[in-house]
Amino acid sequence: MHEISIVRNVFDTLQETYPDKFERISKVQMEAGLLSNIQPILIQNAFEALIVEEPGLADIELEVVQLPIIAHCEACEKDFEVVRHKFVCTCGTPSRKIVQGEELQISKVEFIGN
Amino acid sequence: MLSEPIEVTHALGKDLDTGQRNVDVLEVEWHETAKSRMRRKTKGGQEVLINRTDRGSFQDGDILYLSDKRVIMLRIKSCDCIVLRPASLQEVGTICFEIGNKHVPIFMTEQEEVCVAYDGYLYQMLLSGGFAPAIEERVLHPFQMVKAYGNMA
Repeated sequence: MHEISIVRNVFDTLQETYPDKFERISKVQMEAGLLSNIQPILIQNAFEALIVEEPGLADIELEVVQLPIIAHCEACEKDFEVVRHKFVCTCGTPSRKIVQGEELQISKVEFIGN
Repeated sequence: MLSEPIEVTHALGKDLDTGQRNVDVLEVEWHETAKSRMRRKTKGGQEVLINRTDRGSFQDGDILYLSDKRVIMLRIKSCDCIVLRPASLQEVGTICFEIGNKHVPIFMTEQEEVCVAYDGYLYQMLLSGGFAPAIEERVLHPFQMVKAYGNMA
């Protein structure tokens, strides 16, 4: 629900991390899990709104990649993908032990000339 | 194929007569149709740079590029969606209020279904609220998105 502040924080973090190269950032990739409570469209819209406020960001592409939900089955000691909200391993054991899907993170930064 | 990326600033339109031209497809996610800047490769390997200044959205089937030999058409990828089939207008209102509170875009189909992109917590919330949500693979079309100020095709 606070996507603008999330996107603003992303670019503040990048500014701190790459003070000398920030102006050369061409693309930022973020990963949002299907259990992160953040939909990519909200991040994209927040970024478009931020561009209006800070036109210097207009040349940067922000890509949001959705991560599937992965859970761990304790019966067969394997990870499995939760498809269509079914938290059940192929062996038939239900599991709520989430391994992936709750993340919201910067996964890749690309620079002009690299 | 051109070695330089093809820059696209706007869609040329839909349902254009493409004749005998080779049709190449640029696939995007449903949440990328309103992006102002995006660099992607078509299925045929041509790099395309989307660089638009308007605030509109691309629609499924939009022609982005047309030359003597080639056409580049945009396709929106399908995704898992939460589909609800409300029995009354009052139920439509209740569902849209619950979903709208999360600021998530709502899509209304011609079959009077309410669709939103799948999200684990939203699905759980709708299930707990007794709304009988189904999960189905769909294409979310920007023209079906519900907007407070009305939809524009």
